[in-house]
Amino acid sequence: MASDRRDDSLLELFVFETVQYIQLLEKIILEAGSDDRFSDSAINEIFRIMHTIKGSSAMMSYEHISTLAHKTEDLFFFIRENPLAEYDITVVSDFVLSFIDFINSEINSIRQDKDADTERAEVLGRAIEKYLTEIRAEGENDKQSDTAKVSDNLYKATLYFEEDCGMENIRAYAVLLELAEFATVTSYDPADIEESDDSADEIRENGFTVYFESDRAFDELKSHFSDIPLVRDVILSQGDAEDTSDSGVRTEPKPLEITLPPEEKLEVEASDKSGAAKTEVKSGGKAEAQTRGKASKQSARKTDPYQPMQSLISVHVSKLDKLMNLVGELVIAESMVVEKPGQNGSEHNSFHREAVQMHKIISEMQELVMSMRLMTLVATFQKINRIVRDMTKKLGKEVKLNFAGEETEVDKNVIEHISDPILHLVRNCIDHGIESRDERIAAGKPEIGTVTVEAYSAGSYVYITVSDDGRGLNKEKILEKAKRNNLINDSTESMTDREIYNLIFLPGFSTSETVTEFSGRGVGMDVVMQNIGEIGGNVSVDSTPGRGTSVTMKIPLTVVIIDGMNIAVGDRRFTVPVSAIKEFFKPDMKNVIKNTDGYEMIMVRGDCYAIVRLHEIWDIETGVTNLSDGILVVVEQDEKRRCLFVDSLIGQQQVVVKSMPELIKRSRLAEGIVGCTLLGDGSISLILDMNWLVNSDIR
Amino acid sequence: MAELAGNMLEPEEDTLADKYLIFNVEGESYGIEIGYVTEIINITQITKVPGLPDYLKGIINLRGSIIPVMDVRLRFKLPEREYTDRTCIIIAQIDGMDVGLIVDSVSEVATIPGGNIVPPPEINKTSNKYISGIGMVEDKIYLLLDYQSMLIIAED
Repeated sequence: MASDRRDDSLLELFVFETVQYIQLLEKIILEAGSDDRFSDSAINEIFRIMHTIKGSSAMMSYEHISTLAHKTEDLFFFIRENPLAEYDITVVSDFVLSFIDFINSEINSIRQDKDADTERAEVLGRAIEKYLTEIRAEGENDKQSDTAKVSDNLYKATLYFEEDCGMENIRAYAVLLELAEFATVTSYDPADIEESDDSADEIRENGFTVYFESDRAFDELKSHFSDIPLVRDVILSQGDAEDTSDSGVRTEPKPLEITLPPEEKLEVEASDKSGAAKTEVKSGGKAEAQTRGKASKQSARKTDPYQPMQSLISVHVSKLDKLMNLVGELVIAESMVVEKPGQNGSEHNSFHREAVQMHKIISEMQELVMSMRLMTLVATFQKINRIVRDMTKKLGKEVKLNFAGEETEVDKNVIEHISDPILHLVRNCIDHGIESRDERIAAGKPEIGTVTVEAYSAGSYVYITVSDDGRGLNKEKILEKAKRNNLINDSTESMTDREIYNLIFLPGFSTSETVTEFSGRGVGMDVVMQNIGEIGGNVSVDSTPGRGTSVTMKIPLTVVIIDGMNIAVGDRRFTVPVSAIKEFFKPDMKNVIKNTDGYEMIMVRGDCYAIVRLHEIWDIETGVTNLSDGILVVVEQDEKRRCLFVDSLIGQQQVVVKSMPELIKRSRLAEGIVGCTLLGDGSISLILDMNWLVNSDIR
Repeated sequence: MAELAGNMLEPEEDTLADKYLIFNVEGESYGIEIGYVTEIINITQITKVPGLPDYLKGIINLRGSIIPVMDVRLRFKLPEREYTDRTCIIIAQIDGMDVGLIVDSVSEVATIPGGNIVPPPEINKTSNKYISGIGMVEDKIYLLLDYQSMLIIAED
C-alpha cells in the first residue's frame, strides 16, 4: 500500500526527466555513430546522464534501473579514465541503445502500473559487465606491449596560443629556449620561426608542434606546458616522435588533450586590481580583454555542446492548454463586450478607441499563446534516425537519410499525431520501397538507397513528405489486392494512376506479401490516414515505377483555432472551416436537376455537384426548404466537392475548437460533427466534419 | 452552529462516505454517490447534437467547458415532461468523463450506511438495469444509481 501511495508529482518529474535524458543520450550516440571513438565531451555527458539516472531511479526505488545505469556508468568510467583503451564504438553504442530501449519500456510499465522487467535488466547488465571485463583485459595487454615497443622519453607537444596574443613565432621560440633547459629538442614545426614572420600565422592556425626527448615524467611536462603564459591549449603525447613511429606498433597511443581552464577569471581579477586608472588610460586594452574573454567563453561552449540552455523552463502542457482555453474565452468575452456597447451615446467615441486597443492586446496574446505550444520537428526526426539505424542493420540494406526543414514548427497536439505516421512511412520506404543492393546495381541505380524526409509550411498548412528512390508502387499488384479484398468493383479502367495509388490508404490493405518485423503487421497505411485525418489533414501518394515513391501529408498548423463560417439551419448553429469553402451563392432553380433516385444536383459553371440538405439529414425543423430561399455552400475536401444547403450565413470569425465531450466521442454516434465552439453570445455552434460530409452516403 | 460542531467531530476523509445526493424522477427517489457530483445547476440552454439517442439531449456550455447532458426520464424510458424551474442538471464526473443528468428535482443529501443497502431483485433480464442497489433509511426508500450502465451509449 505504501508504495502505491508514492508521490505522483515526484513520479511524474522522474518520468519527465528520464525521458529527456534518454532523448539526449540517443542523440549523442547517433551523432557519434559515424566516428570511431566517442569524443571526450560525449563520454562526459553520457557518464553524467548515467549517473543522474542511477541516482534518481534509486531514489524512486527502481533498483533494476539503477543497477543497470550503474553498470553502464562503469563502462563509461573505464573509457573516460583510460583514453588509450581500445573499444568498439558500435558495440558500446548498441549497449547504450539497448539501455535506452529498456528505459523506454520501463517508463511505459511505470505509467501503466505494470511490473518491472528485472530479468531483461539483468541480461543486459551481464552483457555490459562482460564486455567491460574484456576491454579491461585487452587494455592491460596493450599497455604492456606499448611500453615494450615505444621508448617512453620521446614526446610530441602541440601548443595553441591565446587568440590575438600576437607574435606567436617569438613566443614559440621562447618555449623552445625554456624546453632546452631540461630536454633535447629533435625538431619543430613550423621550422622557420626565427627567420619568417609568416610563421606566426601558421602557428595561429595549426599550433606549434615540437618533438623532443626528456627524462621528465608525462604529468610534470604537462603542467610545465600548461603554465606557459598565453597558452590556450596543449596536446601532449608520449612516444610518438616522428622518426621513431614504428609501423609495427598497431596500437598508436591516442593523444591526451589538456584543456586549460578558461582564463576569463584571471582577466577579470587583473582588471579589478589595476582599478579605474587602467580602464581610463588604456581602454583599448580593456576591449581586448573583453574579446578574449568572449573567445574563451565561446570555446568553452564548443567543448560541451550538450549543455542545456539555462534560459528555458519546462511547463506542464495542461497549464498551456488551460491558458489557451482562457485566452479563447477572453476572445469570446471581448466580442460580447464590443458587440453590445453601453447605452450611453456620449461615451461612444472613447469606447471604440479603447475597444480597438483591447483587441490589439488580446490578439497579440492569442498569437503568443499559440506560439508557446509550437514545437519543432527536430525530436520527431531524431526518432527516424534511430529507426533507420536499426532497420538497415537488420535488413542489410544501406540507406542514406536526408532531412530538410526539421526546424518547421507545429502545434504540440499535431506533433503527437504525426510522429507515428512519419515513422511508419519511413519504415515502409526502407522495408518495401528500397530494393536490395544487388537489385539496385542491376537497375543501374546507386548502391545506397536514399530516403528523404522533408517538412515545410505554406499558408496555414504544414507539408511533410517522405520519399524514397526505390522500386515504386506496383499498380497491378495494388489492383489485384484491392479486388481480392473486395475494396473495389471490377471497373478499373477508368481509374487514374493517382486513384489506384490511393487505394493503399483503405482499411485492410497491405501490399507486402511477407510480414516482416518492421512493417506489414496489419497496421498499414490506413492508420496513417486515420491519424492524419483526426487532426484535419490528409495524405496523398505519388509514385514512378522504378524511380521511387513519395507520400505527402498535409496538416493544419494548429488544430486549436480555425477560421470558421457560422451558418444557421432552423434554430441550430453550425460552423464550417473557411478553408473548406470554395464558394456560396443563391441557387438559380434552372441549374438544379434531379436524378432517377430523386437526388438533387446542381450545375455550377460546367461542374455538377450533389446537394446535401443539412435540415433533411439531421431532421431539423426549418421554414427554409425551397432551395431558392436558402444558400448553397460549395465545400471541398480531398478534391471532392459537395453543396451544402443551409438557411443563411451568419458570419465569419476565428473560433476556438473544442473537442466533443468524451461521452459523445466514445459513442461514435455524432457523425458529421468534429467538435464545437462557443459563439459570442455564449451559445454553442457545432463544427461540421467535412470529411464525412463529402464522403458518406447521404440521403 | 450545531452543524459546524458535527463536522468537526467527524474525521475529514469520512465526510463523503455513505452520502448520497437524492433526486426525484417520476415520484421515485434516486441516490447518486456524492463523491461523483461536482455541482448542481438550473436547466439551461441545450445545444442539440445530431445522431445521438433521444435521451442524450445535447451539450451545454458550463463556463467554457462543454458537457453532455442526459435526460434521466428518457433514459429510464419514462414519458417526456416539459422542463420547469424545478428541473435541475446534476453535473457529475464519472471515470474522468463529465456528464450532466437532467432530473425533475433535487431534494437532499442522505446518509445511507452500507448495511442498509440490498441488491435489487431480479425480475427479468433487462429490469433494474440502471439500479445498483436499494437503500433504506428510517421509512424512506432510495434507488441507488448504477452510473456505469447509465453511461453506456448505444443506438437503440
